[in-house]
Amino acid sequence: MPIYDLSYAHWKGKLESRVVRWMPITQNDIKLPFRSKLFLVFFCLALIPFITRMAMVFVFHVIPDVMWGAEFAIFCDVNATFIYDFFTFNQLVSIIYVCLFVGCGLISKDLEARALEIYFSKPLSVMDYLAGKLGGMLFFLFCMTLFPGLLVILADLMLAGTEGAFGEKMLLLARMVGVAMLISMTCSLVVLAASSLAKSARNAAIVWFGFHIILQVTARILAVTFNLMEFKLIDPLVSIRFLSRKIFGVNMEEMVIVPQELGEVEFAIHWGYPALYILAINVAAFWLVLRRVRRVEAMMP
Amino acid sequence: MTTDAETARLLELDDLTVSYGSFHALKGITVSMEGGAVGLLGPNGAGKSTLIRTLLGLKGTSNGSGRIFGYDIVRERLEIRKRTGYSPEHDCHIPGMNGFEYVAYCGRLVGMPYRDARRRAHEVLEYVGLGEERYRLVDSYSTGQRQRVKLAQTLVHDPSLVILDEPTNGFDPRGREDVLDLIRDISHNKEIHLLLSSHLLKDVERTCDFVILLKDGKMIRSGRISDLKTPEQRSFDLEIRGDPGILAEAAGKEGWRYEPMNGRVSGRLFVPSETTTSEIFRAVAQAGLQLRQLSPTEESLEDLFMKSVEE
Repeated sequence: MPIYDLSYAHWKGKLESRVVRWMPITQNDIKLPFRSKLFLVFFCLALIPFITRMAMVFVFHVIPDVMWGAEFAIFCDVNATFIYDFFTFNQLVSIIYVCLFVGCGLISKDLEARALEIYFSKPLSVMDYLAGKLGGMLFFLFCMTLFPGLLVILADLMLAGTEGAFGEKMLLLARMVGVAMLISMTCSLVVLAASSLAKSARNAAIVWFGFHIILQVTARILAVTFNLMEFKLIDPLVSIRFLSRKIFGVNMEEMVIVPQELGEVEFAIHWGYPALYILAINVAAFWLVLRRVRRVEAMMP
Repeated sequence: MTTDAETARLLELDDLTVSYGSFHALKGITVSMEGGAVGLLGPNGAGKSTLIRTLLGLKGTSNGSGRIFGYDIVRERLEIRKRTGYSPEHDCHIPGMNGFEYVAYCGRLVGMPYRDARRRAHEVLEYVGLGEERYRLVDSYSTGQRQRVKLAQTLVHDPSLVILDEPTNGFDPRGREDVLDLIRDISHNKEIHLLLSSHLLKDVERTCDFVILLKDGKMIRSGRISDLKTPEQRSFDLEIRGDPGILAEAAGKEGWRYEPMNGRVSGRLFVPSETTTSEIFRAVAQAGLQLRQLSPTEESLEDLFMKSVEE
């Protein structure tokens, strides 16, 4: 039987609104990594710090009569220091792993498979495509930052009760959202820019690592050469930690995990400078990825 | 998916010029096609791919304008893409998906609801002959299967226009026949307009009713293939016994032209379209020659193409 004799019927449905046209891209980019068993194992491992801290908070509140040690109490009191430590130290490895495992392949794999020809033959703009990719990346980074942060604060509210501290907790919640957005957005845009520069995830990972290592080394060389610690803020990670401390309103002395061990000090500089620097990195990364995708779009077929 | 706009002409190009820097890839193309199956023919570098890219709104115009279904190719390109399915020439796919997921995903990208996209993916994969292979990773497909899955993703949202760029690349002879039948079925039985770009003239001749011939960025011919193949003067292939020079002389006296040929016939006689075969019989007889075979020349699209390119 010739193949054309098999059925073909016209579709009478209605297309969805253009506003959500990027959503299938995000959904797909969230779904695909979970097919890898390695990623699934990692994802479960990444939840361990969060589960541990939740368990500690739970035990601390549920069994208040036990005389917990002061160090244990520091780990269990859900405040700005607690969230800061959790985001910038506990979850750091998970964030790096998400960037490498998920982010580096997001655009580079599409370039490798010439998938952009398929995307842009559909009613999608470059911005739709980028919004979809950014959405996928943000989801995974929110899983490491925003969602655990929300759950910890909510759990603390439920276990400890509001008792006049509701406003304080809401402020902490707002600060936590701000820092989670700062970390997630910066990491997403930088890794997408790296991904758009290569045609394989491995090469994109090299570009991403290279970017961070070059800035880190430059920062240290300049700081030592000029004996000016503020140069360390050239390292985006240090700048993000500095801005996070400012947003949370915490100082180095309150830290459970001491940043000095990582070579950090309390910088005598207005927070506006590192904020501008991080904003510039975000804008540059966005401009780069936009330019790269537009260039590829213009080159095809 | 039929809208008022789709009752407009399929393609209207008015002095369309497209440039890459100082190089003009398309030069002042003016053409209007009502609809149906249109073949895009031309040698390498003629501007076929540039024309497709421009129609999809992927390349801006330098001068002139163009409309598909009445939608402007620059300002309303997303509306055009919504109504168009495009199968690129190169091998391309979304990585990490099986055939079914890929086609359903393409439906979602156009804006189909989740359930509809999945149902349509099953239907069109059956239609293009990939029903048994739908759950295999696209990365593991053969070249022919990849062409079929590309065709499926163009059809998933039931477009009004399908643009196929070299759709028979990579097929074995049997697969090629099947796909050409399929393409003809799409354009002639399913009320879907077709724009087919191919360097294989026979593919165009078999699947299309209209043709646009491009050369060096210029349109050299366009229209219904059957009309273009009908020459202003008729020609006949003749097998004669005797001196061809005598026939050439006799033809000249009648105002005809005779060209001797080396092949299965002695030569080709060009006569005005109103000339009858009786007049040819009489002229050959008067020249004292024996006519052993007389048949009207069948001009193929290839003849037309070669003639147009040479002009």
